[in-house]
Amino acid sequence: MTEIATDNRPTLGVFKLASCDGCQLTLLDCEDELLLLAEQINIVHFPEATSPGQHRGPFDLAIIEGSVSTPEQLEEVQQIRGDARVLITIGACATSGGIQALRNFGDHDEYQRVVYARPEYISSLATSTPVADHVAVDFELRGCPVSKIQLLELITACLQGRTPAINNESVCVECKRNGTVCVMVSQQMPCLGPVTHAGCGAICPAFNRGCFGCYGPKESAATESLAAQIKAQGQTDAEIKRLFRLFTAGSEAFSTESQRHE
Amino acid sequence: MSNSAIRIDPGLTREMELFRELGEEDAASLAAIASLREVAGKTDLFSQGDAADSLYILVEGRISLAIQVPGRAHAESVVSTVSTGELLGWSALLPDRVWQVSAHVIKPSRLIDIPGAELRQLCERNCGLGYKIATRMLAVVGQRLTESRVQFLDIFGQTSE
Amino acid sequence: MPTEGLAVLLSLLSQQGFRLVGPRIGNGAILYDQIETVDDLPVGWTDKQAPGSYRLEKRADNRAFGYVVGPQSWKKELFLPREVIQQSSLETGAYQWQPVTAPVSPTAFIGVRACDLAAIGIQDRVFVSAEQADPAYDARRQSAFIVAINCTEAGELCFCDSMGSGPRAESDFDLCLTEFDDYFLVETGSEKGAAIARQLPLKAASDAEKSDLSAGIEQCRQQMGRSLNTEGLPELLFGNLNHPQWDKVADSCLACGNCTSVCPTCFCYSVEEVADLGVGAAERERSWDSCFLQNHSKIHGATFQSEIKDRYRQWLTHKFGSWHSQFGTSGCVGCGRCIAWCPVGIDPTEQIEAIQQDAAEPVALPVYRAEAPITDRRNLFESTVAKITAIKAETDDVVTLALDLPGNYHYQQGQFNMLALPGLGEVPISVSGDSNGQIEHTIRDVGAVTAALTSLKANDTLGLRGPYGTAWPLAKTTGRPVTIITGGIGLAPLRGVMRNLAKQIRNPDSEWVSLVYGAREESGLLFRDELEQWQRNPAIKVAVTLDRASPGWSGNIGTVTTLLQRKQLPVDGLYLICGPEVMMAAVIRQLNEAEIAPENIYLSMERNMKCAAGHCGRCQYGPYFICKDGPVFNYPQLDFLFGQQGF
Repeated sequence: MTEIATDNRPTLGVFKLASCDGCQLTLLDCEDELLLLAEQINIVHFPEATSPGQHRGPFDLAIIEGSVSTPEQLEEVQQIRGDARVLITIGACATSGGIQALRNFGDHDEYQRVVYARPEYISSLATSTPVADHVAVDFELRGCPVSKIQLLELITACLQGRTPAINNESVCVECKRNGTVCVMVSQQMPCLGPVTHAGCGAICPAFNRGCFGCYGPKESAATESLAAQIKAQGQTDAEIKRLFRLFTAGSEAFSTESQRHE
Repeated sequence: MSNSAIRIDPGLTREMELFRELGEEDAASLAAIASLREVAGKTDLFSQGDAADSLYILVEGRISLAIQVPGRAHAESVVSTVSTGELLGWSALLPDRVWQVSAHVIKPSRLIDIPGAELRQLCERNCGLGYKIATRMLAVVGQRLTESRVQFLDIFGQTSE
Repeated sequence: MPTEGLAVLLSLLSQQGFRLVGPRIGNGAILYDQIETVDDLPVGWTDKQAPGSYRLEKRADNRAFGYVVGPQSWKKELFLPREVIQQSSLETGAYQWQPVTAPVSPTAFIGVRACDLAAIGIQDRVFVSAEQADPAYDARRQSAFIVAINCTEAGELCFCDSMGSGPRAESDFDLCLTEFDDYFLVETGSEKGAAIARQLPLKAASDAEKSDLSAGIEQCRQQMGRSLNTEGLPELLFGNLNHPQWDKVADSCLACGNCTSVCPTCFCYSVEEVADLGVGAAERERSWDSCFLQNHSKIHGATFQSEIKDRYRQWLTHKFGSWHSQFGTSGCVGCGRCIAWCPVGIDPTEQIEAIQQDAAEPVALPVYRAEAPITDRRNLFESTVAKITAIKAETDDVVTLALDLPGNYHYQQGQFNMLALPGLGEVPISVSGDSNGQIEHTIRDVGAVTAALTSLKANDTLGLRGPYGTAWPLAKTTGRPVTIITGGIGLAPLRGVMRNLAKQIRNPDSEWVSLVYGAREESGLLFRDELEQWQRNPAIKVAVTLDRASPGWSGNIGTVTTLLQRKQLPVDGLYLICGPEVMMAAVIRQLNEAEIAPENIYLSMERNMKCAAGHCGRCQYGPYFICKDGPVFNYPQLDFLFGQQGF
């Protein structure tokens, strides 16, 4: 991106920590809207889209993808926060620690010994944690990956200075508005929908699968009651543990619930 | 500080709620140890940390109570205002008798001054009177506590998301 | 009518241009979906229901309507799950909202059970019989053709008999069918229905067939899997707001919103602004909301129903209790959907029974009074464009906007307007007075919309609709002392009253006005010029108190209650209160202690308002909609609920 000398567009920085890049790709996927976005915002740091370079703050808006997984990332989030007026984190990794947070439940050193031939070259933290565990975050956008529509809505709302129309309701409400039949009630299929944050549009139940909880726990996630019902419908503790240990296993509600079934 | 001690008139004590509650005999014995004082505006009635020697009833005027905040630009903060008919100086009834706040006279005021030492003696001799005064004090302390709690809630401040 | 007559009915309706919506199997359930012929109907199928469980099974016969109810109800056809209600456009430099009127395709509802018919009637009361009608709902409702179906079999979760809403469809249909093994009984309920019936292969029903109907209905009543004692239920529920059963049910409730979504009467909705990055029109979309969701009761950062217990209690007390005060009917029709489709199978009839078995005394609730519907069928979200003529910064975060409005705008002190900025949103703001024919709004920056409103400039425009709500009882201020107790921004809705009183010639001895005003700090005091002006009025006493002193402040420090304690509180005086709820609660306690008659106390309440017409359900406070029953209440109206956590 070329910088215009008399540029008074707000500046955007996009950063990546431990993640698969999928959420940044969601931003690139926006295509048509991305051009509109580039008219209104000056993208000064976006490694996935531009050639790598040293990031220079301050940023009016900083977007972080990925979890805090290494000692360097611990320092980096502090720096980004310091440089950003508004900081939003996107995706399951940045908001709950991601799939890599599964290591939080095991022996980090042992994993290193088993996986790497020369573990002494590996510098990583024992846990993978969300950005908000370390610095204040203005908005956490959930999802694995995040929804393109929600991401645009969030950025637009930040630019327009309004509250993003992103609801913290359950996946169930989306299913019902879509007219999708509840798989848990009609087929006794395990589903995390009732305790999961909406935003995906309730895709899985529409394809006859229970919700995997990609968007992480909703507020007031009554996981214990849901797990009891899933158990009553015939699932074993091991299965319930696995259910809560996916992309958002590191979230407090899901990790606590999974531990109840160890 | 203008500080003219005058014996108090029984007519005045009858106007004050505390004395009315006590009944004639008790009121008279309390009035006997009390005196009327006038204090000029923009003076201090007492200062935080000093020995608390008297209990006061504000007959007229306004006094603010302030607490010291070392290290702040404004070294003290007004926490409450006392107005006509109200009691101040409950510290004078406590064994350690040290003022917990400073009292600034905002408007020229008239006060009934009841010396703490004599008051405590009177209460010990006459437990019935002592109980009534202690209950009254408790109401004052309770009111200040409630007020502080509500102020602490910062109900007019912004709710954070 | 022979069984084959059903096909004739469907094709007749199709020929008349109706879109047919009826039962159809999809995703393992019987849905209300678009159908073409009888082949689409679930012939020979039934549903087996239990708490948290629903399964389709084959029947021994070939009945088309041999099931109970599925997860959907007809509300999805009338009160759509999502609907764009407005679009903004930029015209002559000013944003304007344009109502969106989607074309209505007349729809025939095939197989409406008595409970669902009752549910449609209940939603009609919300959306069309209230003071303000919802035109889109109304248009869809008017054009619908209803083919009801009587129930001769009941399900495990049915209790319409207890709710008085079934199993027989009595009225409000165009045609009503009762299905038997080899024939249908057909009744007509309207001229439209009769016209269709004349073209059906009908013959007069025999006495035996008629007695089949009553036997079938009776059999259905006997089969009801659930029952509920509804006697005195609203009063009982509100008398038991602290019953331990609420905690118990909160342990299993998921607060997922399934029950409210499947409920055929639940009507709460949310309104959101949708705007893209470009210069395209911003849209205002409404969608099904639920009292189980956190945002339902949220206003500028505070959630009134933060606990799951609060939300479940809100739902149940509304559905079976306060609904009576609001609409003159229960909100439950006994269809059992909420029991089946609750993922953990919570059964409200069980919850109510547990409360009934160990109940505290009932409390009286306000009695329903029917409203005269306004015939004006304008979109209730339609706003007038108002131009800002003057702006005054009151404090760091509060400004007063003076607005130019059409001459036919009349308001009363205490009422509010909905102020809108396209693409940003809409907020309720009370009128803080008027001068030179312009009305004033004093707005505090507490969120995105108010931030934008407080940074507008002169000649900018905004959308305005109103006035809404109840007013301060100005007529009652004459000939008696008036004490006005306010805190923070709460002075704004009372400024008009103060101005009014200041203009009157009042006897300073018997008709004095006392304004007790609390604020956080000196810099947060509103209307300082006017405070000083009122102070000089011999009939007005102004007392101000702050939470925090600033250097040079020689006034009072402390709460309004401390200040109030020093005031004369005449028993026959009038008391008007507006401020944070904590403050109002403390003031009410103090006035009670001073033995002030509750009838002389008025206060202004605040909740989450979206529609301002009593439709969206967001601003409910027990039996009241703050937007139309309030914001100004006489204290005895609120007495039974005020101070209760979670409402």
